[in-house]
Amino acid sequence: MASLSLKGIEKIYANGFHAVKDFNLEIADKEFIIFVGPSGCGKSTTLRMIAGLEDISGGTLEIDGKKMNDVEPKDRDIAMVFQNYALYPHMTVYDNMAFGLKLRKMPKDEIDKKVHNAAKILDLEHLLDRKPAALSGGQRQRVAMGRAIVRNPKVFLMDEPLSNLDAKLRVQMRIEISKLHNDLGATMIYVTHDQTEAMTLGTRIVVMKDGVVQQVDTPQNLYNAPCNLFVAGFIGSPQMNFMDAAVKVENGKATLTVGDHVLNVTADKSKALIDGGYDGKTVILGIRPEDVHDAADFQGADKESVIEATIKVYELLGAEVYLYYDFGGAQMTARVNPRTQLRTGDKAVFALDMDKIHLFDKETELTICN
Amino acid sequence: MAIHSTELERALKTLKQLTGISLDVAADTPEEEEKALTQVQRLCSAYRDKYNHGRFLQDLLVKELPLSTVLEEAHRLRLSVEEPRVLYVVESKHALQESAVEILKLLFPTKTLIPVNETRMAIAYTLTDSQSPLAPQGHALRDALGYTLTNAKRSPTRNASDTECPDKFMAKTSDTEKEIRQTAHTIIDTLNAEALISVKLAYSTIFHSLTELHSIYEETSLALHIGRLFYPEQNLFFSGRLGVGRLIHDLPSSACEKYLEEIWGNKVPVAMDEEIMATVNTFLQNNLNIAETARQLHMHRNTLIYRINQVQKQTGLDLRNFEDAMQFKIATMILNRMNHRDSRE
Repeated sequence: MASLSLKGIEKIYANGFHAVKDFNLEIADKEFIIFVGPSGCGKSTTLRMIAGLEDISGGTLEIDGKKMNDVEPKDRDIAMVFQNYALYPHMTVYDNMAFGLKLRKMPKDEIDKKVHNAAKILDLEHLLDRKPAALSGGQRQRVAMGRAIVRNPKVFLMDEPLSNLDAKLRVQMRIEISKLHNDLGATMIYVTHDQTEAMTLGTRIVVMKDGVVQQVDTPQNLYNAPCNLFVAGFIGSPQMNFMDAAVKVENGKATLTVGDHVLNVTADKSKALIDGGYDGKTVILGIRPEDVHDAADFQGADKESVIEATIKVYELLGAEVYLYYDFGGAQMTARVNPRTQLRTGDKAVFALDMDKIHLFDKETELTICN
Repeated sequence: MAIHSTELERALKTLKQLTGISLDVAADTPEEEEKALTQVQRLCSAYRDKYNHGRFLQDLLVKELPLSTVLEEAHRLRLSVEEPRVLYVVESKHALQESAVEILKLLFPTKTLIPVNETRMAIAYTLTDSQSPLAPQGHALRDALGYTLTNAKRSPTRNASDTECPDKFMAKTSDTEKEIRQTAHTIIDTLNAEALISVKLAYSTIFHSLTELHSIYEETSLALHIGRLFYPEQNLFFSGRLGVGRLIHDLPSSACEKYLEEIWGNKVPVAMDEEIMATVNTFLQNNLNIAETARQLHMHRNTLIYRINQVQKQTGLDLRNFEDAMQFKIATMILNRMNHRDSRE
């Protein structure tokens, strides 16, 4: 398998559209890297540049230390799986998987070995004689994967391969792709707009917006320590709650005022606010729904972190309950225990876990402290 | 090498001439030889049919043929004239490799494929065809079209944007459009992943008669041209929705020249400075937001403002103002169009 190096990669189209800006990333051998971001953020374009399907306008792409900028896609030793794959309807599963190798004039016995090997990995051995019409959606998707696997590439590139599947099948295929990565020990780059897919699959995630890399980190770090407001809002479901908070420093201690409520902050966050010169300024306070607790259940609650609100919507998801309410002019969500007695219209007392709040600069949107 | 009757020898020779395939026949009895002869003749006949089929569609694609010729040829080749179809035109930057053509042959019935030149292939996809890879979609399309045809009375220009259509028709047609677009995506993705080539694709509105093929091809080719010119970041274009690109493309050159003169006076640039254009485009993409643009370009705010002022100096247009920004965008599109025209001349 292979390592990749992307240094200052740029994509500027003839009409001046700047799709990818100064993209830098080192991908280690056997890594499972996810490019995630909203539609139009440049993630697919970057993947297509790695594949050689788009010209690179600037910067250097290396695979295993060799410069690949001007190498033809077929000579890059990559295989791709896309969202809209088509299986050849008149061919069996075996022939569908073998077709690409036949085009390359590979010897028959070698093709046979590769197809059977891939079929074994994908649990398709018993289906090799079937035609696509006789396969389920998941089996078809596995055949599409099989066509990539038989190429035995250095790098697998996948562009939203699960987007056309229904929710249940997508979860199942997600597990299979993860298993596939472990079994093959391959370097994989996977593009998705779905943050859940990104969080569950990747060893590292590249979050992109408007052609710019926002943060590259492990799923855990992205969740716990987002580098800016965009990453904080994009990663996590339900989304992080955001509200404006006025900073006031008194006696060397900072407080945050949200609406009529004054919230005490922890010593380290207070220091970050004072050191950053935020006294008298407004910052953005972010808190994840699971860090807003029913005050009655929360041991760490003190009166400076408790807020009162009226529940607007009660949503039971089985293992958890989402409560929607307004606070400080913002719509908030709390993820609480399903045994809660709170219902729509009730007055609730919530305790914010002030240890877990995130603070962002209102102008630059960069993180002040996590 | 077996010795055959003159007739069989001749048939085998014809087969080789037509297809390049050399066959030898081992026949022990006259009956077996007779049987072989019939099969070889059928092979030749099938190949000729197929060949003529392609040539006929190719002719139809590039020029208007008299209606009588179309009907006569279509009848002879057992081609249905009146059938709902969509034309896909696939184009590669370099010559379409053999592998790409093979893939298209596997995805679509051969009779729908029309080679145009070495970089371009057209597919006159019959929406009622259940033999294509998109058979599941094909069936849905057929269902949808059953309704479309009844309600639209075979109007070739009917589409989802027709305001007088009843709601049910609108919903059905919209589904059909989605599936047609999905098919286009599938063609692109399959060629990308399997043939490892980059292609651009344009597709037409639904048309109902082969006699329209020429005009539909012209329209779809135009979509490909406009798409390449104004939207190079995209690879899929629909001839029914080309937006402001078509408008600018159809403007007379004199009007374009006048407009450019209004913006730049007698100093119309040959091309815009790449750095300035990249900056301006990011600024436009960010809805004229200076802070966000500066952040994205890793540029000091003052540098960005300096560049915007430079554009204002040259053109009199203040890009911080929406109207001026819009004028500048149109001017660059026109400049693009004029440059392309010049390079073709």
